[in-house]
Parts: sequence; structure tokens; C-alpha cells
Amino acid sequence: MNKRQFLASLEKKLSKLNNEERRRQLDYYEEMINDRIDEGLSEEAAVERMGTVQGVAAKILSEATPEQMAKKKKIGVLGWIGIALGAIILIVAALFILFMVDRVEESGIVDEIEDKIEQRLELNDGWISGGDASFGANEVSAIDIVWSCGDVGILESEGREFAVKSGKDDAFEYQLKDGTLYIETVENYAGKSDLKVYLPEDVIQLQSLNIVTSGGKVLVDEENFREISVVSSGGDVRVNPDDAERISVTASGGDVFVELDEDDAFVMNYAVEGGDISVGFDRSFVNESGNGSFAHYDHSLGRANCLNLNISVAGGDIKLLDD
Amino acid sequence: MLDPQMKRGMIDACVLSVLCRGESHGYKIIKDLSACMEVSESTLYPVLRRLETAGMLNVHSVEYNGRLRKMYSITYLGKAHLDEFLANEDEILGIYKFVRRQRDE
Repeated sequence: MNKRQFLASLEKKLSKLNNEERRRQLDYYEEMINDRIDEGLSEEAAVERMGTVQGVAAKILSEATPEQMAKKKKIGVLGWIGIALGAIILIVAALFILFMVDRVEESGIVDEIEDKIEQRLELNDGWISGGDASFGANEVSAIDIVWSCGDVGILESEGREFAVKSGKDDAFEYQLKDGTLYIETVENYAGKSDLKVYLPEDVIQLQSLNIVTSGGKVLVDEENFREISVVSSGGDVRVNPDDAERISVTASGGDVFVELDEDDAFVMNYAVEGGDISVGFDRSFVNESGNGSFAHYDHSLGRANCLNLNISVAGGDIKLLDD
Repeated sequence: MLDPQMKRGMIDACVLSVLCRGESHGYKIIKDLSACMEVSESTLYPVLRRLETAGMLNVHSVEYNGRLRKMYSITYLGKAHLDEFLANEDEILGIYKFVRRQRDE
């Protein structure tokens, strides 16, 4: 193992420490390795002298004082529960008005959000402050974003890695756990910063993309997710579904654009309140408001491989169009 | 081998004493200590942190070979701690003598 690998590996195992202490530990071990190299050891031998990453990390964590550990995050009023519940409350209220109680319960939105809350609480100790966040093409199979300070863009790139970029570095924090890349706005961040996640050029198919956001636009322009789920309040949502199997968008206060043309096979279940639906390639479909289903697939091929779209919008339009 | 609890207090004193000769950096401290005890990198770090938190040593960064190296120096508090440690020598030897005599008589 070379020095860079050792330190990168150690950094991941020290996620329970607060940022300052983790930095100190990494500086210390880097210095120890460098000193041995200066003495004449090869880089590999110098790293070996430190012991295994596992052993070093275990020793560090066993000796760490409570002050050196990362602070438990409290989810504040401006935190993501606020966003998610805010969006959900608006949608649920709107849909209830349309007497669509059945649909809301069936859609399981509330259960999904409760599961997410549990999952998020488990991530409390692992957040790494934003900055230069990039990951190998094989390291990420799902992306999960909670963003409250600007727009969110999932974009393709010509690079070889996943790269997370934000207008302001200190606006976000992230962690990679079990193949899922979690990104969220830092609690109580007061400024405005847009988030862009770039996917590698040769990305293999990714499992899922989850975005919960409030107050900004969402653009998903990358086509390699099997499942996409966006909950948004206060901004437009644009999705390019291409190879996806399931897409679910819940939006309030903005329009939802889905890039579909007449060659795409899909079934859309929709619920719209205070807006309307238009289908670019089928001008005959005109629907003012309400809920229902719009299917567009080759009946001889059947529904089996169709894209499943579930879109609920309050205070905005649904537009299926070919950009 | 020394009991870990005892050893901790001992390592603290050894590290402080090495710094009495002048400021030094992590790797050199380990080498100087080796005349008395083998201390690994991962053992030394918590000692340095503890002594720094207790105000017994100071740290500052110095440029060396194009990188930054942390230099440690003993403080007045650290020297006082050493005086206390050495003052215990007679008492500790007395205890060892007592234990030996009790066991062997």
C-alpha cells in the first residue's frame, strides 16, 4: 500500500472523529511515514511500519476522548425533515382536497419518508465536510441528496469519476456508505449554493437516485438510474428518464418536465392540482387537472418493460416533452 | 511487561524528559525513547495529545524538506510534572522493597 492509499483508507475509518481531530491524526501519520522515508525506507516499507489501517484506526478510536468525537447532529427546524414534511404536507393537503385519500395512502409517500428519516439518523456520525469530493466509478451505486440552499443538478461529464461540486464548499457534507453517496446541505446553512453531481462518462447502471429538496430547481440529465425519486417544493423539476424503470416525482410550487417522446414506452399515473398536463407528442391529450393514468406503449409488447412514472404536482404543470 | 496503567504515567514522564534537552519532533522522540522503551507511533500520539491538552508541552509547525513538521517543546508545567514524578522515586522504591520483603520472608 502506498502513502496516499494508507491515508485515504485511514480517513474513511476515522469518520467518527470530528473534523479537526481527524485532520490532526492524518497529519501525524503522514509525518511519521515521511520521516521514515527520509531515513531511507521505501514508501511501502514506511507505510507497513505503521501497521494495518484497521489496527491503527482501532487504536485511535479506543484512545479518543469524547471531545474528539464528532458531535451528534440534531435535525433542526431548517433541516431536511422540515423540507420533506413541508413538501409532503403541501402535496397531501392538495390531494386531500381532491378526495384522493386512497391514492396518497397507496403511494406510500409517508412511509417512504419515515423510512428515510430512520436511515438518515443512522448516518449521524459519518458526515465529511464538503470540498473536493470525488469517487471512483465503481464506488457509487446510489445517490441520495437532501438539499435546501439552491438548485440540484445531476449531470453527465467526460470525467472518470463521480464528482460533487457546490458553489460554496462549506455548504455541503457527504458520506459514502455501502455504495450510496449521501449529500446534504450543512445544517442551518444560511447562504445560497447550487449542487452539481457529475457522473463519470462510462458509468455503469446505478440503482437509485433520491432527491429531497426545497427552494430550488432540480435537473436530472443523466440517464443511468434504474429508479429516480424526487420530492421538491418550490422549484421546477426536469427529468430525463431514458433507461429508468421507475420514476416518482412529488412536487409543489413548480412544474415537472419529463423528457419523453413518442418512441418511449411508459405508463404515467398522475395527480395534478392547480395545474395541467400536456403531452408534447400527443396534442390530443388535454387534461385540465385531477388524477388518472396515461399509458403510451406498444400493446403488442405489453406493459412489462414500460417505464413507470408516478407524478404528483400541486400548483404546477406536468409536461411530457421532447427537449 | 509493565502494567498498562502504570506504563502510561511512565511514558508521559519519559517523553517530557526527552524534551528537556530541547524541542523535538514525533519520530525523533520515538527514537530517543527506544533507549528506555519501545513506543510505537500509535502509542505516542495519544501521549503527545494528552500532554498538550494538559498544558505540559507546546506544539508548533516548522518547515522541513518542503513539508510541515510538528515540533514539541516542554513547558513550565511539564517541568513541574517531572519534578513531581522524580520526587516519587523514593516512595516507589520503598513500596517495591516492602512488597518483596513481605513475599519472601
